[in-house]
Amino acid sequence: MPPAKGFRFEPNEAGIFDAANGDGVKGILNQRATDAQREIRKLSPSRRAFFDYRKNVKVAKARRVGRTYEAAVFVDSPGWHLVEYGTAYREPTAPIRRGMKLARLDFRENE
Amino acid sequence: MTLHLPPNMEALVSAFLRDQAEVVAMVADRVYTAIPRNDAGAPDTRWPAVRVTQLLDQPTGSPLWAIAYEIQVEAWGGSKADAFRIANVCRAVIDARISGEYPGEGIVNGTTPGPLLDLPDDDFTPAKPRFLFTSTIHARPLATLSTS
Repeated sequence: MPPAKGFRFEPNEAGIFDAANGDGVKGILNQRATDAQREIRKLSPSRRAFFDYRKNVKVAKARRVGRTYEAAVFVDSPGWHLVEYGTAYREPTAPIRRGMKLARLDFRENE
Repeated sequence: MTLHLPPNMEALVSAFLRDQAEVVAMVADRVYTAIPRNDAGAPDTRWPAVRVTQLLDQPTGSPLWAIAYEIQVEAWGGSKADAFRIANVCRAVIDARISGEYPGEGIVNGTTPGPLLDLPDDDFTPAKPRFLFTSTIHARPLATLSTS
């Protein structure tokens, strides 16, 4: 199957051919970020008013960073840590960590 | 036909920690999967204490034989130093000793320890010192159920 328009492979510093440029790459990144957003929203607090959590699960569309592209999903709610890590009063439900895993994305804390 | 029943890793890890002399010396038997509460819904325990929570179990595929569990372990102090020491010891004993066979439960094949995070519990005033980490624990079933 021919690659998408503008999609090309080029070797990285290790000589491994990798996706680097073009609208195809941006599309893939945006799709993966949107997948993660969907999973995180599914796991977000059921009470809609909870620190506006659900509506603040956002995607930053792919943009050029150096020689490649980056997309992001983030939770712009001040209460994110209450559900992510829990408190003595609240069990942790970890929507971000579980959502990323369920979207089949690697996620490491502190990175 | 045989059904493979993966272990209840949350229960396995909390029982494992309660069985470790270094942990018992610091928190006695206060390793919980749910913090006890009083009638008003407030935590009803002495501190320091530890809570073990299973966040996710991720099978590698079918058959249901190899599972990667994400387990969060939180340690509340006492002091900040106490919280750090308890979490640090819990992470170390899980890393060094949890692999092995657990009769009636399963077999732990190995772990990938995560970073220790300093996250004071804001639900207390002032915030109560708390350190936590998430470890990935790889396990497989021991219990099987034969059906006709």
